Amino acid sequence: MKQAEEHAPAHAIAPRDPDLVMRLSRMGSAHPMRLSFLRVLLRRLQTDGWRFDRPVWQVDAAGVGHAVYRAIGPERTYSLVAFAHDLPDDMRSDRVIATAWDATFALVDGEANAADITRLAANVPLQEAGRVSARELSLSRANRSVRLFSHVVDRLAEGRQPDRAELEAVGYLMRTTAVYGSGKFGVVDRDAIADRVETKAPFQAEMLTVWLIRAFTVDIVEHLARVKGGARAVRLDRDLRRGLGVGNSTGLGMAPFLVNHPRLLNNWIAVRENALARVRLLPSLEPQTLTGFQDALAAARENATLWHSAHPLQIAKLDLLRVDLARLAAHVAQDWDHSRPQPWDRLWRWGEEILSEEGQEALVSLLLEPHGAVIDDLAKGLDADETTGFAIDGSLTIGQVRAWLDEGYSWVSRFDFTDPAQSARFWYVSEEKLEPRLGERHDEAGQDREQPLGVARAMAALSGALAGWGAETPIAAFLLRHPEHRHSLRRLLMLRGLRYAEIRDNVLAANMLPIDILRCKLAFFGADRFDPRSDRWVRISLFQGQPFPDELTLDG
Amino acid sequence: MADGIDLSHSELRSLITKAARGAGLAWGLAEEAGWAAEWLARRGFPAADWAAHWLSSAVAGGLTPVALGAALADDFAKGLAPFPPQSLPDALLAPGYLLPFLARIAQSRGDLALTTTLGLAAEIGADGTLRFGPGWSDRTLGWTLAHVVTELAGQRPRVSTSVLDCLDGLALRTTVPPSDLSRRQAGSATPDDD
Repeated sequence: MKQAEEHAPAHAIAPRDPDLVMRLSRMGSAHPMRLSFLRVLLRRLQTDGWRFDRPVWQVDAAGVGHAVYRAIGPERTYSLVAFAHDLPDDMRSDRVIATAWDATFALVDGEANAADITRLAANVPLQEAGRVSARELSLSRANRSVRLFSHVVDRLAEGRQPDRAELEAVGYLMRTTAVYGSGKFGVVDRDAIADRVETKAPFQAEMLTVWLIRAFTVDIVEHLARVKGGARAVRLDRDLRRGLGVGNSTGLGMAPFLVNHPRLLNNWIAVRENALARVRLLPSLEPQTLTGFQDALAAARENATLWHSAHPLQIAKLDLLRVDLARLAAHVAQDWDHSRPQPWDRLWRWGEEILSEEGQEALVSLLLEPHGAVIDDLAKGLDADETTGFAIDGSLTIGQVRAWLDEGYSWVSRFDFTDPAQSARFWYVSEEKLEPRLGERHDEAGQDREQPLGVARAMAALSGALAGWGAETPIAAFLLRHPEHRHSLRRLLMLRGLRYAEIRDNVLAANMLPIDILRCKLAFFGADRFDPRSDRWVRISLFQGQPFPDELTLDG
Repeated sequence: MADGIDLSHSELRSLITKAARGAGLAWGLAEEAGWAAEWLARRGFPAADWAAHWLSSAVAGGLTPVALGAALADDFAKGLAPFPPQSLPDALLAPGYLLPFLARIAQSRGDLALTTTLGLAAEIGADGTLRFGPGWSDRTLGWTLAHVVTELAGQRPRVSTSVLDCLDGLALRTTVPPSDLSRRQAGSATPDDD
C-alpha cells in the first residue's frame, strides 16, 4: 500500500472550501503569516534597498516637539512627521471619542519641508478635527503604555536595562488608536497611490507609518531617559528592543470593513488558501524548509507562552493553541514521515483531523513560513479593484439572478430569519464621533437607521422578493419596483465567482462575536498577541520581533 | 482663503452616499448617488452643490435625477433593447446628476444628446466627452458650450461650508443618537491607561 502511494502521481489539491474557511469561528482563529501586510512591506523595503534616517529631532526636555523619519526608496521618499505631546494622564483614552494623545503622526508623500511641518502642526494634533492634504498618506495617533513607558524611561535613566518580564508582559511602549488612510480626513485617495509598487498591496502606507512610529517610540524613551539621567543614561539593549512592537487598540470600526470590501476580503483569503494549496502540493521537502518549519514552530510555541489575555474567550483559545502546538511538535518529532511523497500535505491532513480550529489556522501560518520561494509571488494578488462591476446590467433576467443566488448564497439557508435570535443585532453608526456600533434590535432604538451589513438576511429577502417574477423578466423591471433590493442585487452581481468574498455567517445573530471579524482582519495586517478587552474591543501588537529601520539590511 | 474645504474623492463619495440615504433613498440608490458624485467631481463639476440641491427636495419624496438616471441605465446600458427617444419628466432638479448614468449608456450604445425646446442641452459621447448647449437648464452655474476634459487628476472637489452643513445634516440622519448601553459597550471593558 505504501509503495503504491509513493509511486502515485501527486494528487491535485484544491484550496479549502469557503463553507469551511469563511465561518466566523474559523476567521476568528486566524494567525498572522508571511503574506500578511506588514511582512509584505518589510520584504519590499529590504529587497528594494530602502534607506531610513531621522533628519529632524526637535523634542524638548518635557518630551514635547516634533521629529521627521524618512524612508528613502529607489523612486520615492516618504516622511513620517511625528508630534510628541505632554498629555495629562486623565486625558488618555484609546476610544475614538478622545481629543488628545501622547503622540500624533502624518506620513508625507516626499520630503517634509518647513512649510509642511507648520501646516501639519496646526492639524495633525487635532486628528479628526483637523484636515490634512493629498500630500499625506496617513494620519494617526498613539498613546503610551503608562505601565511600561515610565518603567523603561526610569531604568534607562538609571543606567540599567528594563526588566525583560515587564517588556514581554506588555510588548510595546505605545499603542496606536487609529491609523487613517485612503482619503480619510483629507489624506490622498487610494487610487492615486494604488499603482505604486510599494503601496500596491493593501495598507502598505499604514504599515509603513506604524513601523516608523515603532522607531519613534524607542527614540522618545531614550530621549527622556537622557534628559532624566544625563550621563548615566543608557540606550535600550538591541535584543530587548527587538521584542517591542507597536500596540493597537481597536473596536467595532474595523468590523464593517470586511463586509463593505468583499473583493478585498476575497483576494486576501484566496491568496492565503492558494498559498496553502501550493505548499501541500509540493512533492517533497528540502532540508532548509524543514528547518525553517521547525524554527517557526518553536517560535510559535514561545509566542503562545508569552501571549496573555484576561478575556475568557481568548483564554480558552490560547489553551487550545498551546495544547495543539505541543501535539504538533510531538507529531513532527515522532510520527511524521517527511520522506514520503507530499509530506506537507500529509502533515496538513493530520492537522485537519487532530487539531482544533485554532491549531489548524496556526498550522496554515507555519506551513507557509518556510516557503517564501513558493508563495511570496502570490502577494501581488492581495489588492483589488473595487470599482469593477459597480454598474448593474439591467438586461439580466430574473432567472439568471435566481441561479446565481443559488450558486453563491445557498449558505444563507442555514439561518431562519423568523427566529428573533437570528436578527437580534443591528449595526449602526453612532451620532457621537460617527463610530460603528452594534445594537440590540429588540431592546434599543435606532434600527430604522441600520447599516446594510446583514448580508445573509438581505440575500434571503432578495430571494423572497424575486419569487413570483417571471424568469425571463429583466431585472431592470424588478429594480424599478423594488429599489430596496438594489444594494443586495449589486453585491450579488459584483461578487459572482468570488468564493471567499462573503463571511458565511449571520452577523446579525445574537451569538455573533464581533472579535472574530476583528481578528481575521488584524491577522492579515500581521497582528499578533490578540488580546480582547470585551467581545468587541481588542488590543494587538504589530511588528513585534521584526527588525527596526536601522536593522533592515539587504542581507537580512 | 475661499470658504469651505477640499474633500478627497472618497470623502465626497461617502458623504453623498450617507446624505442620500439620510434623505430617504434606498441604500442601493444612495450608493449610485455617491458614485455619481465622484464621477462628476473628478470631471470638475460642483457635485456637492448639485447634491445639496436635489437631496434637499428628495427628503419630501419625488423623483430624483439619481433614481431616473439609474432606471435609464438599467434599461439601456446593456443588452439589445431598442433605445427610442425618451421624454424626461419636467422640473427635475440638478439634472447634472443624470450625466454619469447617461455616460454609462453612451459607453455601450454610442453618443447621446439631451435636447430641449431651447436647443441642445448636452451631448454625451461614447468616449466620455461632454458638450453643453444653450438648452442646459442649470441657470445658476452659467454653463456655456464647452468640451470637458474627462479626467482632472489631482483636482479635489471644493465644498462650501453651507453646502457641507446641508449634506452633513442629511448624513446625520443615518446615525443613531447615543444611549448609555451603546456607550458602555463601545469601548474596552477594562481601563485604557494601563
